[in-house]
Amino acid sequence: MITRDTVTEPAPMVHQGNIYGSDEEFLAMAVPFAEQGLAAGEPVLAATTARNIELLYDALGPAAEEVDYAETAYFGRRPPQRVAAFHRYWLDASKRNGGRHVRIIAEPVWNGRSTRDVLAWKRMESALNLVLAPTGIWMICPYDSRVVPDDVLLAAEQTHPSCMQGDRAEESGHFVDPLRFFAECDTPLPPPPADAATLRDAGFRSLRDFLSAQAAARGIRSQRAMLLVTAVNEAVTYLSSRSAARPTVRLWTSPGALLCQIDQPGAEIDDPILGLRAPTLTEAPGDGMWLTRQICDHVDIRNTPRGATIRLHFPTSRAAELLQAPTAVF
Amino acid sequence: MNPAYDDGQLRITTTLDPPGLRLHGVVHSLNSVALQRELTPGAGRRGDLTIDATRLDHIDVTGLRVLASTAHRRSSEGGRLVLAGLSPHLRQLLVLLGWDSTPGLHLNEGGADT
Repeated sequence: MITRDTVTEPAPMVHQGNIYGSDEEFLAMAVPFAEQGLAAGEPVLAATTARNIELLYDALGPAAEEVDYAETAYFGRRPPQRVAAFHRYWLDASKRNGGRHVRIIAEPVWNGRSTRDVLAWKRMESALNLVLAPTGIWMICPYDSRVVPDDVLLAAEQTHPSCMQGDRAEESGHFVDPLRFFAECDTPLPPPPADAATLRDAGFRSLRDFLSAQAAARGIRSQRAMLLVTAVNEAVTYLSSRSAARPTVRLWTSPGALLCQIDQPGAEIDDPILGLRAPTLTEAPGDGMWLTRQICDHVDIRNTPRGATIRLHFPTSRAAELLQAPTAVF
Repeated sequence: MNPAYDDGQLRITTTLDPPGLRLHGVVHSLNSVALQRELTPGAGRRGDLTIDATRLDHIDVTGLRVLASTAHRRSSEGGRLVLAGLSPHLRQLLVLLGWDSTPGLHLNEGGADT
């Protein structure tokens, strides 16, 4: 028998901002969002500051037991890992929601970030409009105007089609189409240094030998060096599918990053969210770039008059965080 | 034993105890088809098929997909694909792809006979 439930269209993705200036304003958005979700049997996740989780739990009373929570700083360290965290939550939560929304309060951390990080997180907020499109996620991203700088508050309005004020949605007057927003973020890269180690006409074997030698010379341990080989090789494989030329690979270091740039003459990259869609067991173009993004701290992707460039930022052997989990490869 | 496949980068050898394949070298987008082909005859068998990855130096996303897809297919037939001797970085790749929990895939970091 066909019931009303089975013919209901899956809930569409919604991505909204929320600029709040007090605890009360945060709760005016978060409490109704969570309560209405729970009443409808929808999974609710609060990925926000520990302080806001506490506020929300106190305000919800016994219903708080039903809310999933994540301290936001640890729910995806970089934007691609954040996307992966949302994806995993969606995969799990969508099994128990019957085609209804999966609600997420997702407050990024902005304080103390580098200029590059701030740009990467702004760009991800814009990219989420495309990345989340195949899901039924209803995401509200709170921005605390007491601590967040003005340029980030402007970006909140540029990257969310609408913003919540309490439980009311208002269209964002400043919303910018993601493709145009990316174009503003993706400024030309400074050229690699003249003395960068260089491999021309890279094939897999020469690439692996080159990267292994360079990694060893820079004190990167073998298991991590193999991750570097994977990150670069998947980028090379993708670029090789975009033109017949053989790529040039350059490698150099700066404090805090081993940089590896792949230049593919004649190639053009037309996928604005390359590497941000989680691969499935069905092959899709560019899905190896998911691994590249997950392994690296940052990935810059540019089209130039001569072809396409992918620049990877990989942690150096000085990254003390890596020593904290000696059994993991991170 | 003569290898079932050898292209100079990847050598695939059939093993009888445990039943499965031993991989030696590198799996990439160009030779993952050979891996797929060697795994297909075992697909109809019940029970475990063991891939000895101790000598596997590198495997890319296409190769990992072949392994995960094979495991998934076998699980629907009541079987498993056991990945034995997997190095930490290869396990990490499966985790990053979200394929480490694929039904029918069993990760065994020890050797093929543990």
